[in-house]
Amino acid sequence: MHNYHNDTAEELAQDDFFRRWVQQPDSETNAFWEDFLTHYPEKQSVVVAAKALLKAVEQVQVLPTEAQGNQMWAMIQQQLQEDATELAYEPQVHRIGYWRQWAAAAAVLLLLGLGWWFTIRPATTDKAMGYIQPKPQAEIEWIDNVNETNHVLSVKLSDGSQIVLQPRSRVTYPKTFAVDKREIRLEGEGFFKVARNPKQPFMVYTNGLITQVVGTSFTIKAFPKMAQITVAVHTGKVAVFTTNALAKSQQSQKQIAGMLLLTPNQQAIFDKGSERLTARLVDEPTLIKKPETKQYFVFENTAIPDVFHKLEESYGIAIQYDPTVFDKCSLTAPLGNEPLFRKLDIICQTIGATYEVWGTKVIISGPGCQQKP
Amino acid sequence: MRPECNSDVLLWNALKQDDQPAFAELYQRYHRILYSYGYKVIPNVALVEDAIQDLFVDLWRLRHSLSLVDSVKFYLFRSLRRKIYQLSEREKRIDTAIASSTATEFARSSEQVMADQEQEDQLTQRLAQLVAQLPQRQLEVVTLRFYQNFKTDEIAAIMGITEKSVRNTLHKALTHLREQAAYLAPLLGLLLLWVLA
Repeated sequence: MHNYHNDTAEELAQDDFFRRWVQQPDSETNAFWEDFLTHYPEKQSVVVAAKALLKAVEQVQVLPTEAQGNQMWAMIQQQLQEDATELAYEPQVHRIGYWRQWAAAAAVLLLLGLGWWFTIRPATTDKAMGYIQPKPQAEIEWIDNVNETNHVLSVKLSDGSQIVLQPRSRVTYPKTFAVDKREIRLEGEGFFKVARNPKQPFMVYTNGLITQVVGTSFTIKAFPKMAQITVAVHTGKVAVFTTNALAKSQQSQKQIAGMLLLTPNQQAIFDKGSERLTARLVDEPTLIKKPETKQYFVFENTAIPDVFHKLEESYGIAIQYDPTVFDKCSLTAPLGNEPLFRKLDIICQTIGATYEVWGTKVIISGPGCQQKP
Repeated sequence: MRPECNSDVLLWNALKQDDQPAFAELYQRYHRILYSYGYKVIPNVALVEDAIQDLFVDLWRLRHSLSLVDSVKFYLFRSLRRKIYQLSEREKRIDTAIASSTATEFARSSEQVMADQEQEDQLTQRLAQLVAQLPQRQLEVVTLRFYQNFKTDEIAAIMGITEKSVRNTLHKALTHLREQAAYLAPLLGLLLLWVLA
């Protein structure tokens, strides 16, 4: 083996065996490098520097979230499924068994009306659904798509909208949408990317709750066994209301009561037991507007109202505070792409304030600053 | 050779024989690091996602004409880079994206600097800040060398440049880091030692 004791930090960092120790240590590398350090204690700093370099490079890597990974995979599957359908009349099609099984497992079940749907569901859950459901019409063909696999399934609708369906979830939709609306039923979890069409609102029915949009993307979680249904908005605007409220408004010809209008980074939480519907921030708000520059969140002696304003715009959220209390505060902090709540932690720590999330608002309180810190 | 490299080749051969689980496994194994690399080539999430999707769709479609490869990882990285350039040229997104590319996402620095930490971690933090600020091409080479563990000749083939310019770029990046680190040295005793080393 190579004599490492004359190596510089950069040479060590370029060595495969050294990198293996830092990146995927095992008993062999651990034994060797610990032994090396006992023999050459003066090399400690070189080893530390080489390690730090490798870790620094690792730290600047941006990895996809699990959801992103799943969505990319779903898109790959979808494109290949389309291939399989196009190839359907060619002889070698039997070799593409996987995606055909998928299509079969995803059971394209044609139903005559939704009546059937309710007969197999516990009667207690859908009292009010009777009127509001997509009306069972004999001539409408319904497609029932169940994801019985353990990966996500991508479903493309006739209007170009897409659904990424999680395992143990199902969507039901008409083969062709009605002219005035697009109605879908979901059980379980789905991410929706809705093709924009103001003339044909897109409505998702989930166990007592209706989500209505024009064109946007959002995630609904509505598992039968869970006490709550959540609707989290990624882009665009989404209206959410209960089926009861819709039923009442249809009877009384009035506006739908208790309707929530959600914007990005907000979510609706519907408690099935109490039928309470509340709006909140999502757990991890994402940037809705790309930062204009790399230094966008680098604050240097910036007045606090400007800092909050920037956060409000970037995350599409509302921050409430008393400007007269905080007018003497300013912030110097090199923020970057920390999650929103981490940024707020740092800011509040600096100006001696605290924050709370109330519904969809962030509320800042504290004694304010005597002089500019 | 490490075991996963062997199993890569097995997966690759299975893929050529229409084995879908092997295809899924390749995706599972590589999509994360491909994304990480793609993001260094062009920090545009949508474009990187599209490129990875296209790469895997092509991989399946063209599986019968794939040649045997020594390193699956190398093949995927080189293909991804080509895809990104094709897509970005098609959509002419590259200029704007590269202009904004300096917005290198770099999450941990300030939060971790604030917390009180050991010297090694502090050194890592400072270096990470410096690395994040390297010009795009230097960052790409540094990533391929020190994070993705490619050899110089492989990096040259992935990026479509000569080995010599890979070495030069790497040298430039390291020199820059060393100089900046030297500048920071009074703050961190350890760095001084690195410079002397």
